[in-house]
Amino acid sequence: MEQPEFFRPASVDDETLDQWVEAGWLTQHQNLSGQRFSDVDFARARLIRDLQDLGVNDDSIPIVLGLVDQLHGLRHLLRELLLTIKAQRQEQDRA
Amino acid sequence: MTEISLVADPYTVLGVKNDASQDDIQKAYRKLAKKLHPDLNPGNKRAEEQFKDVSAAYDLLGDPAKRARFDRGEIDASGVERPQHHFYRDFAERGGSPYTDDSGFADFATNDDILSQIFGSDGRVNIRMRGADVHYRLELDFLDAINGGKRQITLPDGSVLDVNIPPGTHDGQILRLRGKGRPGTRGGAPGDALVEIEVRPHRIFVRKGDDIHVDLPISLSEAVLGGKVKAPTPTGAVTMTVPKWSNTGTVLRLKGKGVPRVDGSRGDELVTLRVMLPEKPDPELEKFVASWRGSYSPRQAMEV
Repeated sequence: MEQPEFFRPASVDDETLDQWVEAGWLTQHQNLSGQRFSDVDFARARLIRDLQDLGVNDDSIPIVLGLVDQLHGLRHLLRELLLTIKAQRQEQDRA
Repeated sequence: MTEISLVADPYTVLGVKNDASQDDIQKAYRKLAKKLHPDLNPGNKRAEEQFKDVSAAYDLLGDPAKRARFDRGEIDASGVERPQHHFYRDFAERGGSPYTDDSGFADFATNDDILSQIFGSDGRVNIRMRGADVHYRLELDFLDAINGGKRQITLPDGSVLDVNIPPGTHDGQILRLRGKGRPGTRGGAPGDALVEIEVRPHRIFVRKGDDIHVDLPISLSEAVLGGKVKAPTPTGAVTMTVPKWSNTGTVLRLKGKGVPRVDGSRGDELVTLRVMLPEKPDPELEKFVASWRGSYSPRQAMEV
């Protein structure tokens, strides 16, 4: 099935995507519309391409990706925490 | 109106001299991009702005042909703005991203009493509480905002929210959708969704309060002799009477053709007439005007 080209970085072809899946940098998952990759995968592929363009070598890319993913995990947690505190305040204000 | 943006000198942006080699330019770019790449600075808006400037400067100077044209003054630094694209961080922080990794805080959740009270080991909130309110923005076409209707917003997680747009909705108005915010935890009530409305400008209508303003072109003969003309209103065209001797700038009021109010009444439409000559020169009209001996000077008040 044809991929929507909107989010897809121009400089990454199918073969490269396959290599990156094999290296464990990207995961592919059949979604409901039968596409292998979603917007988040393409955005991640663009980041990988940007890192390569910046001179990050292939051995270092999984290290960078791992740290970036942990950072996003922490940011997600922090946001949940802030929303929780905010909701608590809103509840107090109502009481 | 054109917006003028100041574009910095690309050599200054990259911090290189005007005679730097292509190699030096690439090195300077890489050094800055490593520091400023938005995905390596997820919370930093300033870094994103700087990254855009640096990328634009490198688009220009990194290509020897473009650089030569820039040096000769054939192109300037403003023509090279990159199309916006989505960075990984725009997706990665959403709870549903398959790549998000919780190992950066897994130890907090198991060892810290306070955090483990709030969060389960899966990072989910663990106490009973009302969900937070969430904010959305919704852009509406001018007439959709005036006439009201139903719209759907697709949320980041793919679910769909039905929004009832009341007639007369104005720019900046906030619609509160009860219970459509974040879910409460452990049986707490959900929060509300707050939808801020942004109304796109209209090609011909301008809204001021509950009134609609519109400029209406009329012909020379309609201006001099008066007559019936069609005027657009938010609910469709209506016929109105232009009185004899209506000048450019004359304002006619169409009662009840403006914006609907909460009480069911409506504002007015104010039509400003603009006398228009035919677009192409009309020899017959020229001959006729040449034979017209008017003594009126419209500039008398200016004393010229």
